[in-house]
Amino acid sequence: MSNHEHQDSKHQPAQRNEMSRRQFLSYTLGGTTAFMVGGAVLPMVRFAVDPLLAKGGGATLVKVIEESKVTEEPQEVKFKVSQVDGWYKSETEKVAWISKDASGKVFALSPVCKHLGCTVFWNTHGRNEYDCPCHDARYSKDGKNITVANSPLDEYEVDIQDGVVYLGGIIPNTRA
Amino acid sequence: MFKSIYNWIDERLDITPLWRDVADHEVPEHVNPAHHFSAFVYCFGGLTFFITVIQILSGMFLTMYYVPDVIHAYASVDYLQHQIPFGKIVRGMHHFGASLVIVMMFLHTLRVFFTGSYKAPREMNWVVGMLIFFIMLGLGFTGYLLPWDNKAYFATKVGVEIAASVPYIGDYIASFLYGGDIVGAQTLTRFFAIHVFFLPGALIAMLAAHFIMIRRQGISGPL
Amino acid sequence: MKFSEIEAEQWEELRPYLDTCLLPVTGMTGAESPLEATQCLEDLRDIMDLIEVPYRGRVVTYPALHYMSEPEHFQQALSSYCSRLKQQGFKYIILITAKTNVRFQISEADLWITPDEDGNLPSDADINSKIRELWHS
Repeated sequence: MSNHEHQDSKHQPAQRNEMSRRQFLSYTLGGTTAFMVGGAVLPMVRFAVDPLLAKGGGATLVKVIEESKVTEEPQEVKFKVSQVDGWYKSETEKVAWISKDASGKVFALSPVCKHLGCTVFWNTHGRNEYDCPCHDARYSKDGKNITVANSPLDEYEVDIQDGVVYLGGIIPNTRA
Repeated sequence: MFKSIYNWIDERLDITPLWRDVADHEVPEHVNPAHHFSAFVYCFGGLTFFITVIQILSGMFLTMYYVPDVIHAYASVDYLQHQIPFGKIVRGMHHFGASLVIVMMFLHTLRVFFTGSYKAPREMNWVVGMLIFFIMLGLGFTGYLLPWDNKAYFATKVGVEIAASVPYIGDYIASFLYGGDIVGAQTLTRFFAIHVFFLPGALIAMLAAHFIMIRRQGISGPL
Repeated sequence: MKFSEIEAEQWEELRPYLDTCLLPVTGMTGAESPLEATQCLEDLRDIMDLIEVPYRGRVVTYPALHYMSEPEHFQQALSSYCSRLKQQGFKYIILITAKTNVRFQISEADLWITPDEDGNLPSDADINSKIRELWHS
């Protein structure tokens, strides 16, 4: 008797045969259903989560100049921003005046005059200020409005990585 | 693990009778293709429902990228179809499913007609089924405009002109559908709203009525 | 800014600041094929960008004179347009063209912006100094 039982446990794998017909059918049915639901739903889920998997997300920062070349004297840098927002595509050329403050922090100003939108230049009258050619608006090195305009020059978002300065979107002036 | 979660909920809410009532009923012999292969004709109603579910799901996903605006509608459809992975498939499901649902519904209607299932006491279910049929046609008509390509534009123009030929009220129907005098921005948002909110809402209500009635009355007997 | 960008209710407020008129001269003769005409207008746009963008707060771009008649007639017509623009309130008139052969002596105009003989656009710095000189004279 004990011998017999021993033999039985030796043939353990044979127990798989004991899956009932009902169990087999429900597994088959469940599997088929899962396969079909998966076939229909997975493409939709992949379709929906595409923005998560898209590469190079986040703000578009553009490399403009090496940090070591930025001086206390503002310099003009031009850069191209290409933005692809779904089915909207745009490429714009932007200008920034980039300089360091006394503590060595790099900042970049947008040279669009806050009066009527002309382009300002650094130091055309030798006063160490930004001057607007149109109506003589003046701004300090930090972009603070001195005359004519009634708000300071906008800034660009600045990011420094590995000694290279990257510029991002336009933000309100944080220095004046 | 699923079993223990299920049991935990079942102890508190007694959910077993709910799904048993929906899922656990015997398929009569004359409806079961395992007994008579010709009984496959009884599958068309279920297939219509299955495709409808796919239509609702794929439509929900499509609205993640689609905008109902004359300037951007076409561009957004083009983008979701060609730039997004599986966009072709998801839009394809919705596009081809729309035709398939009409085909399946038509076959289901033929089955009901030729087995005489519309007869007493199931007349109301036939009427509700017909309403579903017209809602589906409406969904097809309004959805056709949304990609805002040439085919869509002229199909809608022709469709609304047909509606405008109704005696007395035709002009009112046309300007209601147009949202003005031409197929334009207002037509597109209108059709979008009808396609995505009004008709699906009505469809779900009608489907619920259809299913409740068939559970109450059971499938009609053998021929 | 362009003439069409100015809103009716803004004009009186902006008028003191917008004292310079930019009058583009395309310089076509009518002998251009559609492709050449497109090219003319694209060149004109490129040179106009040098003024319109950086000085948009003070310069009003007027609709262009596209066709050119016989030089003497055209010169007369151009100077009468310029004098009327000045009477109308503009203090400075800048004429601009992308053609190398369009350049007349117009006493009413204050500045001509043209490409050099080889058709190269003037540099930013060049235009900048000319315009500053004009406004500060």
